[in-house]
Amino acid sequence: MDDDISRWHADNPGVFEEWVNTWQDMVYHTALGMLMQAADAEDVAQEVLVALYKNAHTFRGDAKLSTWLYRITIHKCIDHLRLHNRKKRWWGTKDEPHENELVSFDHPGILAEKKEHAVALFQAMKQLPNDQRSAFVLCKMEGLSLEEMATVLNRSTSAAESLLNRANLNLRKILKNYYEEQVNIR
Amino acid sequence: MKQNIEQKIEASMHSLEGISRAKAPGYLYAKVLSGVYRIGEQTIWERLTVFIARPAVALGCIILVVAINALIIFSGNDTSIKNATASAEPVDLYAYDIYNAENIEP
Repeated sequence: MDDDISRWHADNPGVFEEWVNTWQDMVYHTALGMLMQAADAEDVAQEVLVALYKNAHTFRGDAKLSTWLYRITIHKCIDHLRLHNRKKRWWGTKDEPHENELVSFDHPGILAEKKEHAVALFQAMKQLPNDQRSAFVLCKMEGLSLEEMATVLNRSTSAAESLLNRANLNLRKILKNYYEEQVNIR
Repeated sequence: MKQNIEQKIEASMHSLEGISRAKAPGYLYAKVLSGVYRIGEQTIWERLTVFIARPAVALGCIILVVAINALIIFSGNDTSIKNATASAEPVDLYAYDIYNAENIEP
């Protein structure tokens, strides 16, 4: 293992465990919003926290640790989604959804009376492009301000705002189609 | 009907309001530690595979191979033709050999 890492952890016993306890819920919740799969979110959270361990000795506290963690989490989630799509393209047909996609996602933190509508929203979120999905998750699920979201996504505030607006518009379109289809089926 | 759909869309769009943060599973720290120990246990071959699998490295290798091929094709083109011409021996179609000797009519 890298000497610097080992030395840093030897000099700061218990700091890493404290960091994990502080940030694990934030990282896991963001990954869950992006991937909508508990097992995948766990894997990504593990990767992010291992990256934190590897880079802890270089972190000087100039930037907010939460911003850095959000950024890494979003990047790893997008990598995960790309890998999943690539596998689907090679090993499955386009029309046939992945077995996990047949199961609607039920987020544990949603209020009981909103669960039914949230299921439709999460299904719609799966159809958003990755950057729009990231903006929506950071803003609506994590409650970040436009400025914070822009910093995480490495964009200007106006660009982040337009990304969020596009995400909202697309979600409304997808939901409209979804509910119209539901009416036609009945 | 249309109004009903609009209401459902609005309800869905606002369904994340009041969301509470999902708790990470209790065993996540143990899982992270297992990942941390795996970094130290990586063999030279695993590290090499990770290095080669990087998109930048893979793309660099492809560009290098294409460049070497292009260099060989364009720089050695003229000399190879000259060499090929020089090494080709003239063919004498009327050469007299042992087979002809056997077929000579008396």
